[in-house]
Amino acid sequence: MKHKEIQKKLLRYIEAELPPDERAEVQLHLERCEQCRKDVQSLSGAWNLSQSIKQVQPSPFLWNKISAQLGGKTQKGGLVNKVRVFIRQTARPALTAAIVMLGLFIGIKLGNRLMMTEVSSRQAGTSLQLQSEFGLENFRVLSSGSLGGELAAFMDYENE
Amino acid sequence: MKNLELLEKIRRGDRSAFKHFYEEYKGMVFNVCYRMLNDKQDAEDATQDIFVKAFRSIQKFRSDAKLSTWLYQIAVNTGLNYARRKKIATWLSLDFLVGKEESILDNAQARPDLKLEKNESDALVQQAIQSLPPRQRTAIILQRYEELSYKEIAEVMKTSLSAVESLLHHAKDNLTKKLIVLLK
Ligand SMILES: [Zn+2]
Repeated sequence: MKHKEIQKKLLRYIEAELPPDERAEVQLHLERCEQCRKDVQSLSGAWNLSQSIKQVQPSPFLWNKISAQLGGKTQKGGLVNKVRVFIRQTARPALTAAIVMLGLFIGIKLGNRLMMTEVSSRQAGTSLQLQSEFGLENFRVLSSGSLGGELAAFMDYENE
Repeated sequence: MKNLELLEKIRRGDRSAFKHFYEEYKGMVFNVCYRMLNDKQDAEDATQDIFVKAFRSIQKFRSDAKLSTWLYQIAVNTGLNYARRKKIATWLSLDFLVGKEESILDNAQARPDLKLEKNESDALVQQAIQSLPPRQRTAIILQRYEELSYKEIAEVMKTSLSAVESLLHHAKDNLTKKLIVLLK
């Protein structure tokens, strides 16, 4: 077995789940390969530490929410929760994506017009003038990543 | 209170019996959701949904089946649904452009009572588990964190023993590849 093949079996090796012949092969490889020995060590460290974190518990207020949803206002509670989850999981991200698309579209349109105006008024003056004509000095340049972040923060109106 | 007795009371609409049931199983349900979604708030929303579904469909529960298996089935299906929606939402919100580093840190800081090293390892393993295909993810969560036997996992996932074996085998090999990269 090659190094690469051995590598993907390391977790099952650590968990002692490999059939005897494969286990022997991995053991033989480990004796010769320092990289795999290191990987076994860091892998088993992370894997075992992570399992020692067992139960996580929900907030003590969760029962009240469930009880309210099941109670007299069953329909209402259910609907409110569904709408809340929908906004957080779908509507808000979709809106973010739509705004980004719109921004890109406007950017392209504006860019085209800017180029055309620049050609026609070459003698008239600098692009600085054009920038103020289009109000571009107020336009912040954002990377696509931070744009998503800013919009998400802007729309994060229901953060508890 | 015995399960059957508890069940009868819940079926008659006894809310305090249902609270008893909730107290007994909330850790199990929340844990499965948390491992599946890697986010406490999402896990709580899903847990709420699961108990509401359980209460409303408890009439359909066959008394000869195991209550926990039935609840695990609802939990796993609901959890996977949430995970699917979350994946689409992440894509739409362009979060993937910013990277996932923050979520690891958030998780590490969420439980200051535990050693950071432990939390970091857990966060890495969690992240690796998230990257698995849904059925592999389900099998590994049920085995590793719920400590279910192969037979129990097969019952929850409505599949054969050999299918569970194969899912866990592939889950672990995929996790190894992912973790080796993450641990570098
Ligand atoms: Zn090697």
